Amino acid sequence: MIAASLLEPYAAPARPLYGYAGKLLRVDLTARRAWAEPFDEAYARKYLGGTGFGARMLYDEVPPQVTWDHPDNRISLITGVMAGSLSWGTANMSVVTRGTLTNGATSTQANGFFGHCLKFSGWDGIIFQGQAGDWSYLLVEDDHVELLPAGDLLGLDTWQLQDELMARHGRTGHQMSVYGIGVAGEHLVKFAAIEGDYGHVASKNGVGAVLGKKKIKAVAIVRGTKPLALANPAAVWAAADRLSDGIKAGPWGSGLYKHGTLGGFSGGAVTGMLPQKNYTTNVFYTDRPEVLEQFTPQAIRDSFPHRGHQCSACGMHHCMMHVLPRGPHQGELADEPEYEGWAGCGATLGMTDPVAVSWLNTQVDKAGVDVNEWGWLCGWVMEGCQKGWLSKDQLGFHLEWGDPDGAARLLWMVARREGFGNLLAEGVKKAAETLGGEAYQAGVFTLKGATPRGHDHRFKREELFDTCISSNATFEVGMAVDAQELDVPERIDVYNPVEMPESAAKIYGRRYVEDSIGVCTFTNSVGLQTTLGVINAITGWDMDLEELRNCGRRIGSLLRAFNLRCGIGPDLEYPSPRYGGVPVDGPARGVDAMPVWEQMRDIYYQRLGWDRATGKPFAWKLHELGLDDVARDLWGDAASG
Amino acid sequence: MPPAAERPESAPSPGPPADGQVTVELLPWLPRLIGRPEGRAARLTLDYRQGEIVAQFLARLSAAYPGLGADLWDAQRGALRMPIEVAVNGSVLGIHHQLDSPLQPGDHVLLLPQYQGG
Repeated sequence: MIAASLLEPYAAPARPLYGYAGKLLRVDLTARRAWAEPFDEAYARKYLGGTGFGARMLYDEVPPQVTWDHPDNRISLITGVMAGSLSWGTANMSVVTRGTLTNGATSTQANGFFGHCLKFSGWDGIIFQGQAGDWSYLLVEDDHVELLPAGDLLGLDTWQLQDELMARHGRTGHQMSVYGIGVAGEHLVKFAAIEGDYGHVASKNGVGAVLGKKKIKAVAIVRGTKPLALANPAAVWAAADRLSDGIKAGPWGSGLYKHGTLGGFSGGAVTGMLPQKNYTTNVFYTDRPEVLEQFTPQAIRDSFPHRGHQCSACGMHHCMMHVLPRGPHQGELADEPEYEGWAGCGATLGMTDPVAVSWLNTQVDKAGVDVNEWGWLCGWVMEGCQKGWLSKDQLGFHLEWGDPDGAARLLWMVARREGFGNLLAEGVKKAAETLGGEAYQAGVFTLKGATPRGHDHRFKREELFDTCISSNATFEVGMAVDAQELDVPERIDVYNPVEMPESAAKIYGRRYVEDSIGVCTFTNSVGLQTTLGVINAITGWDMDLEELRNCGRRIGSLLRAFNLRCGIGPDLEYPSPRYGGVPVDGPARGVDAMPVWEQMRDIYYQRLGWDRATGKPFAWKLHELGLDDVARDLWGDAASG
Repeated sequence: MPPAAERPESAPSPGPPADGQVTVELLPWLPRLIGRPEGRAARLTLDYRQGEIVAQFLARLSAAYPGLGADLWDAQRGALRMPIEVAVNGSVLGIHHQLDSPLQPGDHVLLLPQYQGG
């Protein structure tokens, strides 16, 4: 028997909003109500979707006193205008909330089939508010919206969760997308992720813990039956082809097209980009060429039987499922790690066996934690055990570098908050601050509490800077991709304290566009002008590049204003001592970003129109971006006009 | 056909290059730009030229392998592009070498894709 839908009656829009379902699903968990929130074309054109819609919602609805664990906190899972279109990798959704590690704004993305299923169920996104009385999961099938009991799902890992809900609702293949939390999210681990469709992850800033606090174990979206209107379907075909052709042929996308990010390990080991043993060395792998050889893309693809595990409508060859070919878990299915999985479960832990790394990476997925924070945390513990500032008595066992079984033991201790795992579940910053002294010096984190990506950023200075300044709990600027269209040098000298921040300021906003339109960053590794061609064909708009870039700047400004209102300001825009430290060996030995840090910030702030003292975007800048209300909030009534 | 000065090596892990040569290594899918199988490292040796700076060396390499040159340089601006990382003796440009730094016999030039996120 099918229960009654929670969804309250709503009026369908008079005419289709091209590219969008035209409404968000709002779910109040406390009141057990659900309703449709339509939006108009002007709103869509201003904020695009995904992170843009989420940022506007966060700024409008979450005041400073509503901390990440407060029932009034919101969490949104929203796709964008390109979702459900013919373009590659367009099932992306962005999760926006006030997250755990920074207690500030969060924007983190995942793909798979979520956005695709959601759009064809007639929704652009879901916003949760309140807190369920009992553990529940949300089922959406077109206009049928139900909150179902999830007590019997507790303890399931993220893969088991998908298996169980697919079976329970009689779905197979890609008929249903399930995103949920693992054991870590149930225990409010501060870096718990939201994982789905076997291996796809929205991982940053503890979004899984936010969902766990709301007692939502999963969101299950049946691929719906609603139509999606496109302004010019033939033009969408052509524009999507241009985009995929650009990826296959372009200098950024062509490698990703075939091997994804696998090459990052072996290449990064040589240049110093690969984070090795918690940033204690940069030569561990180059000193062991026989080990490094096993981590090349071809060696990985040759040694693991594998098959494609692409996201919706995607022609890339980077997402794979593979089978562990040997060892104690021989024959088990694993999600082929992306670069960051190889880094977080491999290099930063001093692992030498790719089979063990892949197994551990899938354990991380199943437990439901962010692989980056996991790497920094586990590497920090391993270093502590080696150097003696973390004792066997404290931890409960001794953990050596390169021990996959010990790492997995630690992982599940953390996921269940058992013993010392209860402190570690707070993330490496909190753990390092608690132990203090040498332990504090060894932690890799930003002072905001955010988790760096899986690189040695002492080598990648632009990402170090970006990660520390960013308002979304990961980096927010990224690469130009097409240097000419953003008017930056073809080759940015990232160690030049003038050129790097000047270029970063010009690129600023690009990434927020990408995270708001329902597309994966890999399938958007072309100039924004090409992406804009798809957007305009879908919507019938005549948007130009500057308007699109202003959308991104607007979204970033909203998140920055939100954080400033929450007290997360310029005083926290620094790396921890280890994160911003000086490499002791390897190719970047002796390189130090900190002597030019303030100079870089001076330039960056000035170029972006931010006040150097307070970090606030100036009122004129906010007016320029159409954020008059934010200008008033930050600068008072004098800022109007 | 590469010029005589460029002799693709047959051994996958050669020893240190002889005096008077500069080694070039391409990772991991860039070898296809010089007509080699991708996925594993490809190595070349080029004769050392007295006083040659990094930019000139890369231009000479690009002339020998136009497919590589097309990805390495922006033809309109005449500038080195961002997607391919260039490292000399293991350090990327900007740390110990710039484009106008002279090369030395025995130097090792590494070309590999830039990575971010993932």
